[in-house]
Amino acid sequence: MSDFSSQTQPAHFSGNQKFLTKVKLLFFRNNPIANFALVIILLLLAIGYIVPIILNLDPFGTSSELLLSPGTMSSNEVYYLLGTDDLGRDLFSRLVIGARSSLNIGFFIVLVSAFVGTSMGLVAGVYGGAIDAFIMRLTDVIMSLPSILLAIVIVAVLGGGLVNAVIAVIIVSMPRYIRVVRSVAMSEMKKQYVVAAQSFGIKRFRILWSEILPNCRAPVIVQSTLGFSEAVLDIAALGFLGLGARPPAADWGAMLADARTYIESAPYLVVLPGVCILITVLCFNIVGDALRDRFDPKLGDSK
Amino acid sequence: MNGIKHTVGIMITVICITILAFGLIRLTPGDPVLLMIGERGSDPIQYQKVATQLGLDKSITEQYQNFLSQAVQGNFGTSVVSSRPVKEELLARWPATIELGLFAMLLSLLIGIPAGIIAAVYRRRIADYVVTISSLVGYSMPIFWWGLVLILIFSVTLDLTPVSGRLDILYDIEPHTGFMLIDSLLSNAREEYQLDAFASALHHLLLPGIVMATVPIAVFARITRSSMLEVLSEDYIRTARAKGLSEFRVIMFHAFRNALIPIITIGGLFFVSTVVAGAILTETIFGWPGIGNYIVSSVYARDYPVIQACILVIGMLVIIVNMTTEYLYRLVNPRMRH
Amino acid sequence: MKLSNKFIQIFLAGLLTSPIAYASENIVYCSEGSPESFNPQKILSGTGRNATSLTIYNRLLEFEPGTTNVIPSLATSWDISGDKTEYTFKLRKGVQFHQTAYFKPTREFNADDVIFSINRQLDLKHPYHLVGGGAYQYFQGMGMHNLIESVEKVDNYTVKIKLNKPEAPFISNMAMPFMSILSEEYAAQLANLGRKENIDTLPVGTGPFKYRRYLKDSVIRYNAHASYWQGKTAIDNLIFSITPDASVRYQKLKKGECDIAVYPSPADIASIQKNEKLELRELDGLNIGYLAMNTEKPPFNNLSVRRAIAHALDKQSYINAIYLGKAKPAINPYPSTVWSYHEDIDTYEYNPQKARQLLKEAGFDKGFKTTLWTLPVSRPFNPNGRKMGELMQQDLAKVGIEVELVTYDWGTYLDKVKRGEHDIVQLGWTGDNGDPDNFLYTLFSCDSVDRGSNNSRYCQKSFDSLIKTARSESDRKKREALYQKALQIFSHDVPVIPIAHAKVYRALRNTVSGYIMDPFDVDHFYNLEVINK
Repeated sequence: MSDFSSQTQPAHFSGNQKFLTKVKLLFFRNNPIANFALVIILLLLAIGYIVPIILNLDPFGTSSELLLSPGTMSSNEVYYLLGTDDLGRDLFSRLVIGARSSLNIGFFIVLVSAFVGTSMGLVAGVYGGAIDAFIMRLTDVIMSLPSILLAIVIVAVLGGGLVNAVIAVIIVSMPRYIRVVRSVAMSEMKKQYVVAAQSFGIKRFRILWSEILPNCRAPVIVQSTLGFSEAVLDIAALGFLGLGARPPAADWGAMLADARTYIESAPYLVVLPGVCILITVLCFNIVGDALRDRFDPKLGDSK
Repeated sequence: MNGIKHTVGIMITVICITILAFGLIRLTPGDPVLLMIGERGSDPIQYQKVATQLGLDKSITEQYQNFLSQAVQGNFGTSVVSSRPVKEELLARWPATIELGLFAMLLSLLIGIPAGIIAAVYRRRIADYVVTISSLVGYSMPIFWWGLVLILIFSVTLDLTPVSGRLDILYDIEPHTGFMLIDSLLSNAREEYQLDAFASALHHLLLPGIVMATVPIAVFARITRSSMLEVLSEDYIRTARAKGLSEFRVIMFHAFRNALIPIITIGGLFFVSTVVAGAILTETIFGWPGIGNYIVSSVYARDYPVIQACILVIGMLVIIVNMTTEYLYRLVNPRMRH
Repeated sequence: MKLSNKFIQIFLAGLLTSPIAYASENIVYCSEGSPESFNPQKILSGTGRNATSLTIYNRLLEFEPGTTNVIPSLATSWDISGDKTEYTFKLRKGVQFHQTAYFKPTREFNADDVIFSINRQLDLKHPYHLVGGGAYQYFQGMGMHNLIESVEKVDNYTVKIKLNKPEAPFISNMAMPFMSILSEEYAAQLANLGRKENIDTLPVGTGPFKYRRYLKDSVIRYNAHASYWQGKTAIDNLIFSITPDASVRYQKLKKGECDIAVYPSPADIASIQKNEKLELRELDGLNIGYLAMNTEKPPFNNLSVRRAIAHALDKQSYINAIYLGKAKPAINPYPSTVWSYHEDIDTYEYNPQKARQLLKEAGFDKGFKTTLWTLPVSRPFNPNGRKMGELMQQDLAKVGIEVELVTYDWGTYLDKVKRGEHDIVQLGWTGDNGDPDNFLYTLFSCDSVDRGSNNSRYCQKSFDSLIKTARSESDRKKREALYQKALQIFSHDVPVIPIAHAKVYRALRNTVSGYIMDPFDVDHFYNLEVINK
């Protein structure tokens, strides 16, 4: 647990050692599963962001001679690692580009919803009163509908498409940040030093900025990690229902929906995108759990 | 004092949900009338008729009042697709979803809780790791894919389970309750026919039930495990063991009974949203004729009265279940009052 | 203990054996969706037609199964007055309505039933008009409310229909689903009980099958109508198993859970053909998918530009990739199953060079930029607008036309097209009654520009007068000549580029005989039989 505070170690290490310490910091003590998940996440990042730069991937190029061909092959100097889909497009390229788009979307959703959610939670917790009541009612309404249903409804209103699906998922994932930040803020506000600071006439906004916000960092990081996996899952589900990314976009959920028709003739088209979704979601969940245990051992199963 | 504040809060949430449901049709881009008629209708008379039918010619506040007073009576207007009352359409589909939901809940309790207990008892041994890892996987499962994989294995490849539907098509069962398991036994046919129909209904429930139960199993296993771990470290368990009681008795009658409270609470809070969220995806994959499937096809068909009704009904249901669970929890555990 | 043993047995039985067939002669039909209603007057979809007008009901005239020809049904003959505005129908005697759990008929079919069925849709003050919302979209969509002046009973078995103006396609319209005959006696009985709305949910008709039970989104059951006027069907029960997913329908068909499956997925067609127990039927659909250019807007008001685009598109490649070869390239605005189909017209083969040449002549040496609207939904005439749009984009880029693909949700799309905001748009049409007028007048007449169904907003005087004359002419030969002239003008002007006529498919088990493919893309159940069981 001292991992985070160890950033304030004496600064006379050499650069190399510093780097090593930082890498060490990323990993978890006594939690091989979480470390494994972390490695997979790094691998995913590499696949999503580096592979498309190194290899010349073409997720959209069709080939009418190679419809639904499984397995590794090459034709016309194009190399197909995982076979082709119903339009003869390279499945490997589509999965990799799908990984990049899932990661992009996940990061974007987490950034926006964490930022908005944290701000709203802080305001609610620090200022209280009517504004708190308003924000809490808003989260109650959002939480009274299952997230996927609310997302579907929002998409039904805004119309299908990736942008609207992202907006929908941002909206449904905000309450988790609002709630956790608000409760941190409220408990901090009751603490003596804050009460004292207020009595010295220090503005509430300064307290918010300098005292409360830093305390929110750990829970927000945990929620962001868990929120990331939920965002990937929800976007994939919307894509699967035909309400998210539209073909020909290389989106795992939409690819899965497309592949449903070929469940008999080309099962690999069904299996592979799902495996990608599962691995991504699973690894972020594992790391999220591990982070929660690290920051607040009481919440997890007592180690 | 706190109670009143709480109630007012809930009331406001309820009102917000009605506004959300009502606002739906006004927020949509495109002309709702044309959405319904499609490429075939550009006749002005027809257009006007549909517009009037939707009440689009009145003022917004009037429409909202109208909407509320009708909704309170359980009257959600008529479906655009079928021109039948939405209430009837929903009532006809609820039993399928409830039957599947209850079956899935049963599965998740029967599998999730024992798995959690085993994991807690054999902590840090193979059984624990198996349960922990599989519950993590289950919790992260994209169930729309999981359903397809199970269909691929059990229906397409092994030919063990039916592909879709609630009952083999050859059984002609008159609908009494809408629950296939019950209706099959109530039908006035020979006993053999009844039992075969019952088996067929159960057979059809199996795969969708497993898919829908996947996430809840994982959740129950996790909660049970951590709640049991907490209880097992308490003094009275050590006392019970010291008294020489058998390990099974200690675990089941002393530990598990006390671990049950959080399990029930979280289970309750979890129930409606899991059933509905699971239903939407599971029913779509298995062609299960329930509410989830209906919501999705209504979104495709832009059948707004139906979507409105679903938001209202499900929102209210979640609120009611949450209130009940909270109330029960406070009854059982007075310390929670603050 | 015993009980649990029994339970396990049942459970295992369910797991391991397929249930025993209890009833005798069943046909299970895997349909793709639920009917909107059980009253064909309120139905637009093909699914709904199958579930009502082709099972439960008859009309005065019907389409001969497998063709677009009109033949007598509940009417045995008809006369047309000299001015072509009065149609007198002689009705068939001895036709029995269904006897069901909710209705016992006391009389046979007669003129009252005909008058009731038409007036419910026509007469705004009819006691049944507003039942279930009062929208009769098909009746009104075909303009029947403006066409029919009155329906009169001459005697019990003679009915006279007066029209406001002569209109040749009227006879075809009489055979359409919305002209199905409902029981007036049943309606009167329901009115007495105060349960008028039941007429649309618990149907009573004269058709070969009677309604038994409907479980929403799941199953519709019909029993044979024992005293059907053409004789009882060979099968006892007809069951619709509602299965929206095409691959699931195919899996059910393979397992014998259904006997007939509609719309098999193109992906499964090869394996259906290979399976000895299954049979695949195909027919050219009564549809047209086209690309319409807004002739009111430059540069599409320029004939050479339209012709250039027609030469630039490789239709065959769309048919291979989008329809997976399951379509026919189109040259006319309707398929060859419609009479007056004409091949002796201007055609535009795929020829990018010629296209570039034509663009040069029109003064677009460097091409131009425009937008192409892609169909947001899957329609029989175009299963995947987006994918087709991408291929078209590539083709047009080759001749220098830079196209941006645009799409909206379905309602907005139609709304904007109706108002003429588009440049180039993908749309199509499925025929209602097999009459050329149903395509040409609806899609290309000057009247339809305002109505919004003329997507190219094409209004050419000589073409328009030809199709209008043909409309009020009742001699088929003369009409045919008029339409052929009209088609020549049409092909010269290319307001739209016909892309393809999609084929329609059905997959059957080989235990079914008597199935007839129908150009209207509906299913006929009367002649079905179960063989070598």
